[in-house]
Amino acid sequence: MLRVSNLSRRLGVGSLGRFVTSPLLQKTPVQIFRFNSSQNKDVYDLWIQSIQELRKELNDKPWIPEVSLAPPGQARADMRDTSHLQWQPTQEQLEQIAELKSKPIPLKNDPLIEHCTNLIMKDGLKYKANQYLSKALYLVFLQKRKDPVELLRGCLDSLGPLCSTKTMKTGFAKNVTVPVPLSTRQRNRLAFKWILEGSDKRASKDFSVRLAEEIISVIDGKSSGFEKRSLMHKQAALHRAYLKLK
Amino acid sequence: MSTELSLVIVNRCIYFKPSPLGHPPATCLYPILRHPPSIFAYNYYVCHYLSLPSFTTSDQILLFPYIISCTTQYLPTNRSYRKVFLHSTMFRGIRALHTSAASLAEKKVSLSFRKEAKGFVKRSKGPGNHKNFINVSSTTLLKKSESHLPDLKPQNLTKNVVTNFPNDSVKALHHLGSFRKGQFNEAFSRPVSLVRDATIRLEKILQKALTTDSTNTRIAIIGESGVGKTTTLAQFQSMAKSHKAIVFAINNADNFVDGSSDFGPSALDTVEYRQPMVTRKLIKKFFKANKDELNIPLTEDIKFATVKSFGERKGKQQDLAFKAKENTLFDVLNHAVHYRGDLSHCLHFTFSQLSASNVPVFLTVDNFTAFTQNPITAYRDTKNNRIYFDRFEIPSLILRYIRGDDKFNKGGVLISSSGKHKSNDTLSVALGDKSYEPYAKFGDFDRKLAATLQNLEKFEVPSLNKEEVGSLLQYYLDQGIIHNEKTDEINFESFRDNKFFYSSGNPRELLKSCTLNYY
Repeated sequence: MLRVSNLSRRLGVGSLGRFVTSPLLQKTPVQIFRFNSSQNKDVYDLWIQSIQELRKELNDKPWIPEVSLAPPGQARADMRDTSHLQWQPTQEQLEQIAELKSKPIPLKNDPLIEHCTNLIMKDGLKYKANQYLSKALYLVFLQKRKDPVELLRGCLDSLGPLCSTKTMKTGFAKNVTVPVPLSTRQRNRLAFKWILEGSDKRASKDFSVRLAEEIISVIDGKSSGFEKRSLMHKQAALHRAYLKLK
Repeated sequence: MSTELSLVIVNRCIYFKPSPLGHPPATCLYPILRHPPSIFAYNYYVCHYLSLPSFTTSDQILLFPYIISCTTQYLPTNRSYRKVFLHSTMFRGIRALHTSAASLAEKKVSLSFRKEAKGFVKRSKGPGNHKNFINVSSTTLLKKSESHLPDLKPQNLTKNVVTNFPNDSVKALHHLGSFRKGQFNEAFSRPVSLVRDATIRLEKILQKALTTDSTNTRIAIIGESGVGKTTTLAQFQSMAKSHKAIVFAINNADNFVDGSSDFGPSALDTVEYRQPMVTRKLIKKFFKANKDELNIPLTEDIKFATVKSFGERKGKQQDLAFKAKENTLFDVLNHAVHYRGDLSHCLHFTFSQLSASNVPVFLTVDNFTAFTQNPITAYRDTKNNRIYFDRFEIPSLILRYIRGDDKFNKGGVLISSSGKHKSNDTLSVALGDKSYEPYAKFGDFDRKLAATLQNLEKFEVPSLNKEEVGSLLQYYLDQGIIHNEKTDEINFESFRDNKFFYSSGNPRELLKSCTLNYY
């Protein structure tokens, strides 16, 4: 029975993957001419024979890795055997594991960055959205020379409205508008959407540049989003009479 | 309504101006159109003046495509440049070819990446910078952090140390264009580089080249994209400047083949075409970067003919001559940078003087793979065939020094490949990395060029190893440019291993993973 590893060995080829480096490719024209002569006919025969054997093996029986990948002189390979790795954790590594066990698993991503990325995202292109945000944050860093994530957190906190208004049905003729408090996520969402609106009015064709400029204007307190925020607060204050305090 | 016009060709630009002549019938034009070559056989030094009989507006339309087809071969071949040319004020007194609403419409602009942004809506230009990310990050005046690093001095190179480019060379390197956009230089107070094994190897090559002629030092710097070939070349240039050597740097070979600049027939016997704008820029950069080293006495005379502006006819012709032994190369180039005429002869004169002198001279060419990738340039000859790159002055000059036809008494030639070009067998076969394939197509293998490039010695820039990544990361942490990690909590070694794994030792990817990766 011919095995995959045996085939590659017989053909003098490193592996059977994409990157097969055939000895043919290393030859000069003169050598190729000689190679093509009848002396090397047996080499071609070996190729054809090997391919036929492999094809027969794969067609006759279902693919069983244990059998096909077995080393020479052994019927089946032990797929669970890891002894060949010969690896044991060191004492230091064991201590590190013990130390880390008590700690909570850290979050993979910053929730704020994740949220903003999702707000930018269009058609499910999350990586692209993240690239836009990352470039914008890099430009913010270049201007301000501070951690841009913290700056973004701060500017969303300052821009986000504290409360909004909601129309409630009373069951009578008239509906009433009631002020409602907003959660942190809702505040961040509104603030970042205002930033996106502001960025759309800017000149650059590059979205990351427009976004960076708008974030910087929020940090400097010049963004048009602050007017929207105060308008929302005024609206809520107007309807404060409808607040239901339990 | 008939329009009276005359046609003037000045320096490959066409001007129309009203003529006080009478109104001959439009049919007068047709013989001219049928026998046109005499109109366009112009000399590029002399303004060729031609008066056409006046013709009607409908005749302009007949004439225009013809004029354009005759002249565009001497214009940039890039489509957008052509468009600019056609719409520019070069055509005076005549309406533009395209005046439909479609041509006047604003180019469509992509709106933000927001969900609500619908379609391509025309919008008024708002406040803020109009540039894109790469230009904003590299050109805006930004708050720079301060750093105190050792200088890159050829005498004391220590491995794995992040260094500044020294004060005496950094200005010259800026002039030569050795620092590029997209290298993240803006993140630091000034350009920095790491002393690597490759730097030390190059320094040894430099020491040897300072005493031997340039045929002994012909180096091809190769390596994968983003591995630091341009930075290594900049390090070499900096070290050469520290030794008071002259550096002639061509920082982007694409400029010669991509059709982005003008070209015309050359006055020299050895080559066919010249590229005036590129030549002028190169001479300016070279002069600014090497002012201190150019006090080389001339061995030959050189003359600059007086160039008159259009309409200036009076006065005697006064040529300016620089004489051997009396003047220096500095005097010549100081005049050349303000000279309005053709500078091809000046460039060749400069090279002949540099070759004759005993001052070490280094010719460096970055993005050299532009030639192996596009040996047939975007320029076309009078038969509308694309032109092979060595028929242009500057590329042919570079090849002469690589081949060894010309040489500097002291110095060398260094070329560097670029990762942005497609890989091609020409350089690999010439450097012995690949075997010669007799049936390879011309696009994959240029036999003629490969034969020339065989003279080059291979200099490979490898990826960073773990220690080098460690010293770079330590510097980035000190500079405070890494924000996507909680740097106070991290174990440095595991952090370094992590970054080493993700960047696979590629400096550009390493910097990107530190600066453009907020998650």
